[in-house]
Amino acid sequence: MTDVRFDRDRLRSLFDLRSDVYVTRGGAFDVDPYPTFNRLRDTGPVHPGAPHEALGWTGPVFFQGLPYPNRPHFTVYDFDTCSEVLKDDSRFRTSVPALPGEPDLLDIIVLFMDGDLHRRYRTLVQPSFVPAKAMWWLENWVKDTIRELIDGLEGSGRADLNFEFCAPIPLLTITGSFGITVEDALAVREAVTSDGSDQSTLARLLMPIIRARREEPRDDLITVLVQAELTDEDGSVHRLTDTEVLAFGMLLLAAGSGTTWKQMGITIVALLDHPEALAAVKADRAFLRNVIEESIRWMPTDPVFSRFAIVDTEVAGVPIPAGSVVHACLAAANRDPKRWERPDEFDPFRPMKPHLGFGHGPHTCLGMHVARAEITHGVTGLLDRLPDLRLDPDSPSPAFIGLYERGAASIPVVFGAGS
Amino acid sequence: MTCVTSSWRVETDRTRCIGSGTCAFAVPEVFDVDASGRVVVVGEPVVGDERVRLAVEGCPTDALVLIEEETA
Repeated sequence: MTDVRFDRDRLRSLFDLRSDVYVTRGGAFDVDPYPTFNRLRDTGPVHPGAPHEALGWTGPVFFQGLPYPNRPHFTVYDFDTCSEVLKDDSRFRTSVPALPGEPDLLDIIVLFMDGDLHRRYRTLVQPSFVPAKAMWWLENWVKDTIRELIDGLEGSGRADLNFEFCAPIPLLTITGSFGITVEDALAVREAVTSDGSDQSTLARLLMPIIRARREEPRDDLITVLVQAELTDEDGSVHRLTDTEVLAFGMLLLAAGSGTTWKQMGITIVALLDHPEALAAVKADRAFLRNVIEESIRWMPTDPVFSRFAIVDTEVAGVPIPAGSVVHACLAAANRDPKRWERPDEFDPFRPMKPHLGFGHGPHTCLGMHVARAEITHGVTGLLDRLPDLRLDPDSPSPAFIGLYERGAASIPVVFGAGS
Repeated sequence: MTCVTSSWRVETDRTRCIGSGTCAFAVPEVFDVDASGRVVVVGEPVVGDERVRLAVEGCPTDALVLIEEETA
């Protein structure tokens, strides 16, 4: 095992939220969006336009459902209507036939499939992501990474947990499950560009692994994918092609690495910022479950998921023409005062209720149990091994930034005798 | 004097279920997801357990129904 992961400058350059990679996600957006979200929910809950327009952001945006300048856009800001839109795939779909000038969404990516086709493809991987499989992920790809990252930090008395801890864990978990080495994983990360991931780097690394697993299966995710049997509409059974396995790999990397990283950071900041919650976790690690769920309710890293209306319809009394993009602002829905008391407060002592932080409907986050396991194990490791872990009192409080992907810009902490 | 017994049970629709495990996370003693990636009920819900009601309401694909019965 090389120690490239402990090169702090390299990690910082790879995972800087303000860097070029994140510009098109509104990475530099540093205003608190929640007062606006609350006002729009109270005066809506449905408004014309996309969330970034409501927030006054005029920079470039590229995200699911964006930019699509030639379609009407609507945004939904309350819990009930967001649930309705995300759940009802008879009216709201993840893809529609492209208009002239629009990119064709890759129809081999399960994220852009709907209905029965989506169900058949998702079923191939779902068994690897159920709650009972969390331990398989932890033992194979998570625990060692976390231990080694903390090994690298613990002597120094201070760290930026955003770059040096939260960011590498999910990247190395997913690439590890593909059989990609740590050094190659960082190369994959480096190849990510503003336009989405550079597919050739991942393809170059993954294709030989896909072929090797067909010859010689291992206990890993690529083996699961190459052995999976897909039943077509007509009942015929076949295996995924190399290209389909690669497409799954790209999706899992894109969906699973940035999200878990940022949500882990949000959880750590919220926890270190709330002494009663921190004391409760120190007394009983099981309480971390409440802390993590509350962090996802309070500040989901992905604040918006979008759908396309495929019929003329209406939501909450607002007519929506077929072809419109409907953005479900689940960040706003997660603070709906009809569902939560004092919704703007981070309060892990409140009774847990299902939230929309992992989305809703048939596309509900596939990796949520793995993400929870990574965050749980990561925070537990920090608290177990870095005594008196706290936010660095000499640094400004961590700022949450980003528009369509939100996270802490940096998380400077001190601990132990070195502080 | 009439003695009324209440019971809760959950019906599952495995054709609607996508196996997200939302319910299994919320109430692991009642719900699980099997090796095929579909929900299974593994324990009897306690009458009045709000977590069960929320899990049923919170199913992302409406694959769960809570049946509340009272027998005299």
